[in-house]
Amino acid sequence: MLETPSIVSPAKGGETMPEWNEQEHVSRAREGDMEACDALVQQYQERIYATIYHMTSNHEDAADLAQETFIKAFRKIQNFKGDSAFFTWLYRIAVNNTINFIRSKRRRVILSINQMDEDWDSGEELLGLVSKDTPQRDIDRHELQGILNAAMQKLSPNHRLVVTLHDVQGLPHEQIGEIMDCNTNTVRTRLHYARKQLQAHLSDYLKP
Amino acid sequence: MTDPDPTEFDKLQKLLASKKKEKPEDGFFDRFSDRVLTRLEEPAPRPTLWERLNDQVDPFRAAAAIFAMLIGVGVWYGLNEGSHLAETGLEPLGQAEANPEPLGQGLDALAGSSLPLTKSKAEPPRILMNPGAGLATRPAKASSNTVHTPK
Repeated sequence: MLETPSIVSPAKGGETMPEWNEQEHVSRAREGDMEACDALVQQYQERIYATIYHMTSNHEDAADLAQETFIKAFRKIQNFKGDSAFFTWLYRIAVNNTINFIRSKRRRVILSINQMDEDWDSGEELLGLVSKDTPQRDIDRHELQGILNAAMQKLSPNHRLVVTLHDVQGLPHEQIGEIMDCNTNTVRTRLHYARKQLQAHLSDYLKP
Repeated sequence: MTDPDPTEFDKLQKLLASKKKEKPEDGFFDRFSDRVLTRLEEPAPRPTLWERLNDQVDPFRAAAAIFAMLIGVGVWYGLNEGSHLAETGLEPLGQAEANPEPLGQGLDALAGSSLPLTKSKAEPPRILMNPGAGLATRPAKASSNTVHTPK
């Protein structure tokens, strides 16, 4: 079982909380304590939303699916046996919900990309990653985001998920294996193939 | 597919890491929890039959039960078919068709069609009527019949 390492609330922009006791919050939420539910949402909302957003590349869909994830989790919290961390269980709900959603609307993908964080001034650095021989030399940061997200959408849901969890969110292979209910080797293999496919889709832009 | 170029791979990782900076509009997360809790207080929609089955039935056991049922139906069908074959198998050949249609009537039925009706008399194959006919005769060599005795 992997413990959730963070005791820092992402919702508060890095502000340190007194101490995050997941088990206590979960048992209180089981008894219907809304404050505990609120604390659990605050704790995990950003990561759950981000995972779904990177899978769908659509803000509205991600917002709806993230809400559904928490509602489903609280309605079924009695089924949570504690075999894994609550965070992993929550992630599994989010991931299954999202994969079902993607499969149901495979032919109707609409990208609605979020803006880059305002305090992140690495636009030039990002554009520096693009080849000088790119078909559109004067590509801007927003276009590059769109191209990357469109390439992500070409991956299968499982490949997209493994790239999102590992390369975007930085989760370790073991935790991804727990979330995806597969072993670490499968995670590595999927990651390898997903990256190769992404490189093939972006080859016009990534050449040295 | 060939192995990825390390330079391209490094660029790809940086690009993917930059996705972390894609954020929703300001205040989205301040309102998010309230929306979830408001929706949570609403009465839950009645679960569909599929959802109830999904919650209460272990998929592995359900698959095993369906598999066992299919095998059972297969065995029952096989036994049923076998007993039917056994029944028809015991019937003497002559009784299989109680009232066979006379041969002539069958031909009459064909008369309506444009097919030529030639009633040929059954004959045995020609080779049986005249054995050896059509084979070339060869005179036997005289020397071939001589018996050589050791001296």
